[in-house]
Amino acid sequence: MLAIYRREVRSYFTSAIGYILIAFYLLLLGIYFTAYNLNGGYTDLGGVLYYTLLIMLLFSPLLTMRLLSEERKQRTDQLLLCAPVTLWDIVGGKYLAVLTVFAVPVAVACSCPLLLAAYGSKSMLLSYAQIFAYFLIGAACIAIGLFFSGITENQIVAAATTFAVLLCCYLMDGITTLISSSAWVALLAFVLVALLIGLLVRYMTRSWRPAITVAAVAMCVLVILFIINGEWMLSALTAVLSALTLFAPFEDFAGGIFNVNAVVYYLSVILLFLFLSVQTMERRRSNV
Amino acid sequence: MIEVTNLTRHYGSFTAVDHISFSLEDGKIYGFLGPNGAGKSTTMNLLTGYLCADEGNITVDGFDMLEEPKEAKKRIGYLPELPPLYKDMTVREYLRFVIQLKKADCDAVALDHILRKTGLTDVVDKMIRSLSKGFQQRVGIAQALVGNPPILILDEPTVGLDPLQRIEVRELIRSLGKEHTVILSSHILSEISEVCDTVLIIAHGKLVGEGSPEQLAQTGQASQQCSLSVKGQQETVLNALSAIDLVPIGPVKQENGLLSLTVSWPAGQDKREEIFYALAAAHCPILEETITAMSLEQIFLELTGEDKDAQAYEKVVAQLGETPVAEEKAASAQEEE
Repeated sequence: MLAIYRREVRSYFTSAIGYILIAFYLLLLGIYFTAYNLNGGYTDLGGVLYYTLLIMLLFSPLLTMRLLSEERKQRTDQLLLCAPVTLWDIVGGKYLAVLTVFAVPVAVACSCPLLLAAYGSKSMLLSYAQIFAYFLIGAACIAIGLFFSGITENQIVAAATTFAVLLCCYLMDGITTLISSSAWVALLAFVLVALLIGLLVRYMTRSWRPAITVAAVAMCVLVILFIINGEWMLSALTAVLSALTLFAPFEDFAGGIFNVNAVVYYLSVILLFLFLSVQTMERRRSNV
Repeated sequence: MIEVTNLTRHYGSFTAVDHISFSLEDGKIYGFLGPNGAGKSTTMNLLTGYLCADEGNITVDGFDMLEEPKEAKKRIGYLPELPPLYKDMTVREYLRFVIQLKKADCDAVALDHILRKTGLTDVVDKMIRSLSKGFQQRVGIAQALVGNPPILILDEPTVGLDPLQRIEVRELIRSLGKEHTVILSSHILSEISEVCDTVLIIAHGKLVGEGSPEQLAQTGQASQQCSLSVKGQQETVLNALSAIDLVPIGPVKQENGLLSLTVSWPAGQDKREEIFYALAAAHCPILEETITAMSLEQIFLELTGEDKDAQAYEKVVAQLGETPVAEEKAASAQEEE
């Protein structure tokens, strides 16, 4: 894993991409910090961090688009997969390398509370906890980007898909209120999910019969549930959607509350997408 | 020591590798020969663990590729069809990375040795993307040699190289063959017959022939062919030959009083003396006489062609086997003829 980690970090810093992305990130961080804290007079870093979260939508796809897709395209994955390393070594090494690149602007951000402390009293613990949560959200977005980089050979497709998914997560609050207006909409949403699951089964088993069976059964169950109690379906949908809001828990941190649930949530997201990345690679070996 | 049993791999509904079984011993150079799309590269990818087989298993030095992949992969150095090079690194950086990746026991002296063997000492600090194809291929070979693995698998190592580089690579493979087990794949017949101790012919995903190049050449022929250039009248010559039961096969050409024709007789006999006496009696001098043994190319075409004679094929396969049963079968088949 170490070999892959070092190679990847070196690759980011010998090509321009590492420097450009870090510079871009630091520029925006600096602008917000100056406007919000230095000029605006707020001692709290939470606001700056919350607004710069939006940059993660762009930063994560650009950072991660190359990670696994380039290996497939250049066929250097043959070198990695024929070497005595596990798939977790490969995915883990790459993930830690990207995190290292992301850690650079975050490390610079760590100096901000020190700067503010010179001008007034503030809680260091609060600020660093906020930065820690910020790092976790960034890490989660990067894990998502890594997964999407692994499903395609084309960097642009990987970047665009990551961006689309992160955007959906960012806007999830708004989407939830939009579509949670009635039980019918909830039913429709779940039916769509059933159809998608059917397609997934078709892809995995390569035949229509199990796919159609699964989709039909799922739809019957949904209709029955709807007839029994429509409101239940609505609340289920709301619950599912709120689980997908990646960025909302940070509001707690920005407000000064250290939400342990959120930390666990982000760690789960990271592990889930790393696991999915490993599975994608494993699957490709068996079913090219 | 590699043991492969019943290896099968499908791509959707297409069977790329169809129940292949073979056993490779240490210290020899093996060649995979076959037309494009036969399944050579897929077999090599399966052997090295890049792909998972649908059926069958692979054992490398006693380690199963599925159950103990790390141990098995440690023993193999692989050069795929397209060398897996990171174009944004220099040669030295890349090889150092490979050493770390394979956790290989390769110090500066050993690395130097590899660089000298592959002729890379002059370009060691150049970016890989600025190297020519030949040099990139050499970096690929160097990468396979890192850690001195006992087994080397090289997929078309001389493709895209100029003739001089091809000769150098062949020399390198021969020298490597003394210390390592080498598996080579190619569709250049001359290369395989020059370099390899044993040839495995693969076509349509199946193993259709196995043996040394000489063995294959000898046993592949159902008959011996002889091309003659005779000075004389066509009728006279043909009459003389038919008197000893020889009928020309293929076209008979007459140019400037010189007759060119080809005759054949079953393997195991030698009719050259009879031809000499027969034509001498008819006062027709033999100006040129060539015995053509079946070349590897003809074996290859016969074994991989679609319209091969099933009986001839079975005979070849039976004769290549070393069991007494197979030899008996072959002997009785020849007697029947």
